[in-house]
Amino acid sequence: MIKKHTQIKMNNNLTITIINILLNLIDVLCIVLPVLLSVAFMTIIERKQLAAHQRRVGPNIVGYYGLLQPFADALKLILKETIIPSQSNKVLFFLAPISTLIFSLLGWGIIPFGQGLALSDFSLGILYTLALSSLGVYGVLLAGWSANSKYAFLGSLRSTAAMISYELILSSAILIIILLTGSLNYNTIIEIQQSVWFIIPLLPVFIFYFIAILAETSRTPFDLQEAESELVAGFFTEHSSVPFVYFFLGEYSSIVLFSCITAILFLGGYNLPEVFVNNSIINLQSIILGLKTCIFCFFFVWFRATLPRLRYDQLIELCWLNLLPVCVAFIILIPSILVSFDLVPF
Amino acid sequence: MFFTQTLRSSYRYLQRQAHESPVIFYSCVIGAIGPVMVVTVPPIRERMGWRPAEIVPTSYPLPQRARTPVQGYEDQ
Repeated sequence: MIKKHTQIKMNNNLTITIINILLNLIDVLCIVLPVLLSVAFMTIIERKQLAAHQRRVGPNIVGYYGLLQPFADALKLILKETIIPSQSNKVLFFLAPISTLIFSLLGWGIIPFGQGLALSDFSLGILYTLALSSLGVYGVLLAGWSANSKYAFLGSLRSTAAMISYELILSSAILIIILLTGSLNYNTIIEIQQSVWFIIPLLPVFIFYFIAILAETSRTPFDLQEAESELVAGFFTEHSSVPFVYFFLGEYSSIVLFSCITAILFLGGYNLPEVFVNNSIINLQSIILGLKTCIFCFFFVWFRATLPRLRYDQLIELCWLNLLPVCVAFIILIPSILVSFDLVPF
Repeated sequence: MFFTQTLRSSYRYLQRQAHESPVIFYSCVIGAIGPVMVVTVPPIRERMGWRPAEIVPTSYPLPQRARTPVQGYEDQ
């Protein structure tokens, strides 16, 4: 009798665990699927916007207004033959695109889409984001090493050096926000910006921050690893078909992710200033965050359409000799203002 | 004469640095403003009537009476 009772209890526990796992998986899917969809649409937005900058029409054949173009592209890439270089390191060759995609998707786990609307309200959210952006370098490095190609290797070396250098600027800019808010949690940072968005008092810091995320996501004018005229396609020269799709998704996912993080850190995230009060039953917070994210996605493409690619020495010089001294100066100035006006948050 | 000369040469040096390496020069200027503010701003604020806020209590206040030594389990 006791044995039977214990058996039923164990079965119940197992059922509850399985239900919990399923619910968590549904939570994750609710974030990942829209993210992947937004990445797909980011590609068509980029092509349309670039076309508008250059006074062209852009893709307009597949679907209404060219909206189905990314799906056609994805289908084409998936149906292509996967070519694996015979002298490559096969395990690393496939591990690199997978790790790039996974690390860029993991960042979405702590993004608050509204009050209480996050997969995890992590108290060390910013550290988590910085750690993931550092890990993103490995995908590039592994891809360049494993392909056994000069172009891929050179591309990955350039990319690694640039990403590591600009991470310093990125961390310094974020450090200033941490000093202002006294918290590493995204929700706290958003709530503190209820009175004023950080982009207003911290405009110079925002400029450094944005330059740093352009370099972190390897976008123009810092896309040296993909310099077509020199390196074919950079670190993923040898990757084709599905591995290439993974790189592509990872790259665009990190663009959208960094735009979202910028909206959270500098534009008040899901909140609007208190003059706009939403008394309706509809929760508009996610839409507000989405619109703010779109602004920065627009900036990414705008810079691509406007700026020429920097030379490698210019890239490194800009980081270490120009941005870093100014960043250090602001790291000294802003806490000093807080101390002298008795505004230290902790 | 000596001080005028020194001041002038220092000014010329700073002018040259601002022209030759503006990033480093203005970074130093921005960075130097911080510590200067820490030293100068609080006295000015105090002179204008600012008083530091009371420290936020982190425990309950002690009662205003003599403390009696604890014998044993008085609360039971």
